[in-house]
Amino acid sequence: MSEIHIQNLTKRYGSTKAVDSVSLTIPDGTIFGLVGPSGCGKSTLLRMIAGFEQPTVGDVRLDGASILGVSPQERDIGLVFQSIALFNNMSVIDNVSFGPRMRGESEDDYLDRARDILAMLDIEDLENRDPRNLSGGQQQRVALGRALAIEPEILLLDEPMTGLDAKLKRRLQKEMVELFAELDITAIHVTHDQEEAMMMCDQIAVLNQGSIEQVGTPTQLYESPTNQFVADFIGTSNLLSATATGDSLDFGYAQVPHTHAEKGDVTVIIRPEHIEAGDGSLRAEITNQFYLGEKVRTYGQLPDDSEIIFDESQSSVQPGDEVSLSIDPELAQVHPKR
Amino acid sequence: MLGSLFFYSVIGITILFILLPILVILLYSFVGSLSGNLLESFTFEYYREVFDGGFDPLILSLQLAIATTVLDVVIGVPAAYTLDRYDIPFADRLRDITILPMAIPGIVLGIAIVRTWGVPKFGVDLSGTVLLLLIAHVIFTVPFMIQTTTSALQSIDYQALEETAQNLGASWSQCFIHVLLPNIYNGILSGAILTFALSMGEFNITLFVYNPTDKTLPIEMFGGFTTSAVGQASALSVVFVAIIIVSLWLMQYLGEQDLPKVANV
Repeated sequence: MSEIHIQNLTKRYGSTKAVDSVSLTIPDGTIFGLVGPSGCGKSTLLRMIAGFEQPTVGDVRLDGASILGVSPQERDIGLVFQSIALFNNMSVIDNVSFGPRMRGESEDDYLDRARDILAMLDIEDLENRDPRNLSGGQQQRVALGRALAIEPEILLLDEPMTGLDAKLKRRLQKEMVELFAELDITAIHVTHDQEEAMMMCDQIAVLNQGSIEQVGTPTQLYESPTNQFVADFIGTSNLLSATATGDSLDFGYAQVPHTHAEKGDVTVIIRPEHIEAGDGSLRAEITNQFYLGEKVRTYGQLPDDSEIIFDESQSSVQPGDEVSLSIDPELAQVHPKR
Repeated sequence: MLGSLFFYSVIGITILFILLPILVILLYSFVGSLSGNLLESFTFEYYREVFDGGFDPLILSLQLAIATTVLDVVIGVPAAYTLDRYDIPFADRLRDITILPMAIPGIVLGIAIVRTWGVPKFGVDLSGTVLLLLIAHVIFTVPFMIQTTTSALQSIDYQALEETAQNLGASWSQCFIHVLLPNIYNGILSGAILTFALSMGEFNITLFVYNPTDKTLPIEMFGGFTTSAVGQASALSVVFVAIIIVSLWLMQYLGEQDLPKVANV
């Protein structure tokens, strides 16, 4: 059991609130994502869980007991930094066995453990190498192995894949998900890369300016964002201004039948894949088009000069075309304007 | 082609400028004076005089330089770390103070040190003691130690290294010894080499602080050059330069030996 409860956590630096009244429950065995733009407070939150920052207000509980009074050394929380921070004065195996060694385990024990971990991470042949001479992906594995060697209750990952190339990133992400499932470990993964969070995490909290915008599974966040920020941050969304009348949405240049509870000024959120070119009431001029392999992403301009993005599996339009677009009212989300 | 020629010329001329006075001293150490036939006046007599005269100044200078270097490491490394690591009010101004001794003329520092530590009226009188020499040398050299250590610290993300070590369960002292020190070792080593060389050659401050029975090597040489024993003083200088070079090589060699062994495959 390693369940984390974050209760009303706030961190103030002078008059700035880096983290503002955040409450979260991270269930045992989940990979929990903290996502948000730079400066949203996700790293500060992580540092408070690791014990490197003391919260101004609030509590962090591990399996029911507050860990605020526990030093970082005693918390049993593994951490992988964005900068990886390998100890360049030691070989790979000395890096991985560092934790158990400092905790006074016998040489046989910590070397056996480190070798098991290197084998698990598929880097047993790097044992005696100098970390400076490793590739980015290898360094990443060593840092992960070093954190796992202390058999932590919780593993914290602070944007550890920054700077790796896209393909390697995807491979490591998949491997880490499989590894964490195998180890049945609870992990908190901080990233500004929403795709990475969606791929790796069971649950995700979206942070903005120190506060939580929404917590949910990747499906919930993508399909039912509760506000514009989440809709915009997770995946790509069109945010269109409209006036809601109760049975239709009036865009000014077009009207779309739609039954909903909101009235007045609203923002209509619609994903690019839920817009079809051909028969519809939204007229747009195509401005740009990008071939992305599995889909073609097209940018258009609406009569009120706002931009609309839609995806097709095969392109039916060309830049310069005037097209009419239809949106599926069932898949559009209507939020009061803020 | 032309570019590399330029750079080779620059480095060649620079080396020549540094070596030229040393070569002149080398010449004087064998001939004593440039008047008369140089070949005829060539002699090892001055070196014999140096060796006959004993090595007290040399031994004192070596002892002083070693003690100074050790103290500089003990004081300078924690000072540099503290100034860089912690949010100390006015840390920048404090750092300025630590480099002041580099900027203040030696003559001013020398007189000030004598006035500060030689006031029998208040029960403080270190005048003429070797301890006062040590204080003076540490004041003069410790800024260089702090500077090199600070640059070494700033060249690595040592806060992440430290936090990682703590996160893995290392105590503060384990972290300092196993992680921090080895990663800034090169900076400390170059600081130590620098302070050793500076202490060996220090003259300005020492001139005001020394006691005639405890002369350092540079003071002894100054005596020689001002009392027309130019040949002997030159021979002593050559011995001095040789010892400095050998000491620096030795320190560098020993320093590299101590570096942790990591196999590079």
